[in-house]
Amino acid sequence: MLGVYLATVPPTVGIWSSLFNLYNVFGAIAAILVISYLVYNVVKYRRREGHDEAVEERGEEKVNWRKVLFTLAITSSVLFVVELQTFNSVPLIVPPQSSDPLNIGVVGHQWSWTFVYPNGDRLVGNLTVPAGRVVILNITSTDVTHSFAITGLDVAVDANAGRYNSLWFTAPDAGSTYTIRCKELCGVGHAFMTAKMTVVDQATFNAWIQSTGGKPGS
Amino acid sequence: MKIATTLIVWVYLVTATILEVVIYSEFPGSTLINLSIGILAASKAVLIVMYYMHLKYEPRPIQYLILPPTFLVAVLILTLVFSVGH
Amino acid sequence: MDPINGGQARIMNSWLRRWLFTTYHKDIGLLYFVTSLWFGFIGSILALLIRTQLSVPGNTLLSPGSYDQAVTMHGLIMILWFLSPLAIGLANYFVPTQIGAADLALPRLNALGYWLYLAGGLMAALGFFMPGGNANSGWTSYAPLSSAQYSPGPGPTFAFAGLILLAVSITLGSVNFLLTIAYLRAPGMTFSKMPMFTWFIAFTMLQMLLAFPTLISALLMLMADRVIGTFYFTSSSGGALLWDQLFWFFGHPEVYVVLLPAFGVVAEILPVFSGRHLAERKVILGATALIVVPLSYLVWTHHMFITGINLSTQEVYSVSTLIISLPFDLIILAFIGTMTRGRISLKTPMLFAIGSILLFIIGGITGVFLSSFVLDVVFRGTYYVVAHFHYVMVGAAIFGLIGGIYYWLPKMTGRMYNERVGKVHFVLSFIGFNLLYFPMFFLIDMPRRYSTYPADAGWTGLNQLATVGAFIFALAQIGLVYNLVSTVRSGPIAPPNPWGAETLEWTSPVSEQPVSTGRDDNRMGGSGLWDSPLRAVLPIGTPHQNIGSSTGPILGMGAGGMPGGGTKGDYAHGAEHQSSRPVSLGLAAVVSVLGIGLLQYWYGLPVLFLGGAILAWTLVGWARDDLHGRFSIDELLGQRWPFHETVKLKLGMWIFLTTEVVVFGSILGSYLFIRSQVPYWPAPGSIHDIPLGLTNTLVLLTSSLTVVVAVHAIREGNQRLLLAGLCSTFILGAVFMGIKGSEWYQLFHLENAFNFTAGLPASVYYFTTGLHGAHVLAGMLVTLYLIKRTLNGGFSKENHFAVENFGLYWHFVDILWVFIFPLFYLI
Repeated sequence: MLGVYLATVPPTVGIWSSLFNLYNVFGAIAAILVISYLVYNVVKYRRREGHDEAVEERGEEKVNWRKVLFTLAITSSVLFVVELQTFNSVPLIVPPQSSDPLNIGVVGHQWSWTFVYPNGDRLVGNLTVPAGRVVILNITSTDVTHSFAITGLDVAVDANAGRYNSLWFTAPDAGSTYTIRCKELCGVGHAFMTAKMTVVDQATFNAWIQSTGGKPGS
Repeated sequence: MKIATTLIVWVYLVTATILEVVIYSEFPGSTLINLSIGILAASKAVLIVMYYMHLKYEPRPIQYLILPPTFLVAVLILTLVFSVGH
Repeated sequence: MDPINGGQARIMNSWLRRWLFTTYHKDIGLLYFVTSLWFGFIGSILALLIRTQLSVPGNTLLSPGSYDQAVTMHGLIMILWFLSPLAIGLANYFVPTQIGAADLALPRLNALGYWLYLAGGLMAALGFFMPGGNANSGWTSYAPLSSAQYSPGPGPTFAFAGLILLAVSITLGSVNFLLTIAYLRAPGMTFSKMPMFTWFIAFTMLQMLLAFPTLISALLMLMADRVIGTFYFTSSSGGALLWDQLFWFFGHPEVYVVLLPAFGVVAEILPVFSGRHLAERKVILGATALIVVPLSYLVWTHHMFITGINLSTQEVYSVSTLIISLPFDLIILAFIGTMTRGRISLKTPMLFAIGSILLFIIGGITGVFLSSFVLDVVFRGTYYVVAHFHYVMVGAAIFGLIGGIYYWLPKMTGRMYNERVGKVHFVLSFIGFNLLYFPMFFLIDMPRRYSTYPADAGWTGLNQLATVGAFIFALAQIGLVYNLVSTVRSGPIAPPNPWGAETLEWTSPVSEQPVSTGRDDNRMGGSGLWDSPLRAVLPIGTPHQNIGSSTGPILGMGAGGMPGGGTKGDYAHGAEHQSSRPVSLGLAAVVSVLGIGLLQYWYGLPVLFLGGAILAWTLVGWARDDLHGRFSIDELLGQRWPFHETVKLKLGMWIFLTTEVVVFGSILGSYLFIRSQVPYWPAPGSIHDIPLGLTNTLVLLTSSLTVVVAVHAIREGNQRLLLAGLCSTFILGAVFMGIKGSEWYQLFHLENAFNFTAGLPASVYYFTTGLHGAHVLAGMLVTLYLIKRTLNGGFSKENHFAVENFGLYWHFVDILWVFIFPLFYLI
């Protein structure tokens, strides 16, 4: 299913955007219908000068159950459809069963991100990942709560001290770059707590990780 | 409510409390024991509410008043404890 | 002495006395109204600062630190010191008049609520002037950013303590309003006839009642962390997730707390200006009562989808969030349906009501988007969320409430506002609002609370649109201010019922003077009031002044300095209705909070003691007022369904106890959460002395028995046994506190001192038992009062409800210990 996108669209983006589109379609239709009904009523039944005819009184306190049930039925079927699609989109937050995922640790601290590679290498502010491979980030914080988000990949999760949260993604195109931001207010540096993610091909990645491997800090 | 009922409730409260301590000191630590201590405490609370706070003798609307907060606290605690981990 | 100046001084003095000491619901309503508008003004200035800062990328107008404070306090002030209190102001003024009650059930408590609200707001605003500035961790005050380590200084402490005062004020207020609506409806005012505004205020109060106690607990724990160094929110075991849960357990119902009063206003305005009855009234009420109110407590975790809670919790709360959109669907369609085949008069109140509905439709639908835990991955923490909740809180809530201001202004002032200015106000507000917030729906990748942003992020254009909208929206509010001021000063005299409304508040005289019998219970006498012809000007209470008199009785603050517009004599009726105790308690709160916030300096402790002294002096005074019957409370049996046989104060106590259940439930819940997260916990018996704890438990259980004996005695008229019971209770309480004190002393002097900062087990132990001990102490003080009153012969076979009510409280405190003992000593 995701294969079609893989060439250009990251799978997480594919899942999120199609879900968003579905919500947008139903949301827009609902908004237009209800607002039109409102505006129609206001315009149609506006009191006009010189037309002070008496108003037909509404039968008081009589509930139109058929209308209520009809409304509930329509709304709940729409809600059911979109919620079903949300449940179907759970793969966005649950890492796929991949034979060979790349696990990288992420530590948030006021006000930068540190990335810990499998070889023990730690890099501040720069995440390099191989193209086309499932990457799993295990995210934590050493101080306040941050929220790790990669703009353009539609993935995010909070970074809490003493706990690990994870997210996954696959970046398809070598050579592309992404901006990593913090989405939770974390102090005066919040707006500047960014990092850069670079996607390289697997061979370059292997070469790079061997060249830096074992060096402490960076 | 008769004064005798009051005394019986008091005797139960004291006995249950002592029982809690006995249970703890005989078999400390297991979940089952913790649970039974919890049940004893809850039974004491119910007796106090029913007899000392004479909820048993109040009109229905007042009796129901205490249910929503108890329910909400239960939901809060369950969510707190079970929302983390699996 | 110059007689003229002397006269002015007297008038001034009487003016001051009125506003400081009033317990009359309309006066307090006006106080809330005016104060909340001032806080709204402060919040708007902060909002304009935010929008100006974000108008260009890389702006340096505000430093990141100042920006964080502006964002934080904008949120807190607008939601808690502007929106809710504005609604409470209108509710204070109109709920009693709508149900035919002469005042709220507990007027002094009402006044106390206002002064605590103001005290809290002043403390929160004072934070800006402290070294290190004000709270800066967002209105959500996420831990551990809000801790002393990351937000040091007195400013945040003031803000959080101010929040506690506010939350206490709101909790007391909700007890009071619920009691009033349950108890003081005029004969014939059945629930089925009750006006929609009163209904929605009742719903709002039900929400406040059980939501704010969690905020109180969370803030108390936060204050303990900040002031005495406990670890509730700073350890990684409790920490961020614990705060998130507690905060949003309060925070989500709070959204409805803000929204529902506006819905009540809209439900009043729509039928009146459509010339029709409200459509599907029963559906609206049923949907709100059965689904919105209960379910609003069960959706809070949707604010936490990406905090790391597990998938099944996300799924459950996503579904519950969806379900809560169904009743709103019915409500909105009923609102719109009300206009069908009507004759819609587009006066200013109606315009704002329609605007409120329209904006709520957009806010509501985008809310469905946010219920999707997958979509929320991207939305969370971005401007999409900001746009959504401003559509609900500003769009639906403020537009609705402004509609209410215009609707009731003729009633409150006796004068008409300027319709043309009102319409311009609406049009500019509507345009400005949409220009301000609609662009934010497209800022899906811009995180909230960014103090600035880079030019290459592509956010500049949308932000600039929003800023332009913000200024249009803000300038439009000059229309509101102009209308308020000019109506009060020189508006044309309004007819008693300008809109042809059918609710009871319009049948009372335009300009009323406070009515008082000097008693707390002021239910309106006479029957058949409800059935009287509409628009009849009923003589309620004292004779009222001529509507056309030149001294406009305007908002109580009009020309001439003497509110109420009359001579001094007019207000003399109110003297017995005045009490200096509420404002004095407010002062005690301010001074105490100052002391707590400044504890790091040498003068903090003396200030705190001063606050304590004012508190003690006030409480003694309050007790003396009661002993001398200066403000006695009528212990009438309930006569309104469903509370036929209940005593008013007993019902009040039970409602209050529900809030206490939530306070302690969330505290014990926090303890259980921490226990479930911490791998190591000291074994039972290794720290706490079990025999001592057992003894203390038995002491407290026995003190409950003595209270039961006391109540039993006075029911049979036996004053001596009552005295003996009360004295034994006091002594047993003192023994309990003594043992507790010696336990704390021993723990502090252990080899590895088990003090406040000795780790999580110590944190939860001292906090929980400390708060419980404070409750015992408060109970002992009440016992002293009861003993004094018994000695004065203040209780009899017929009159003993104070003893019973104290019993309820004391038993409740006993029950708390029944749980605390095994949880802390045995498990």
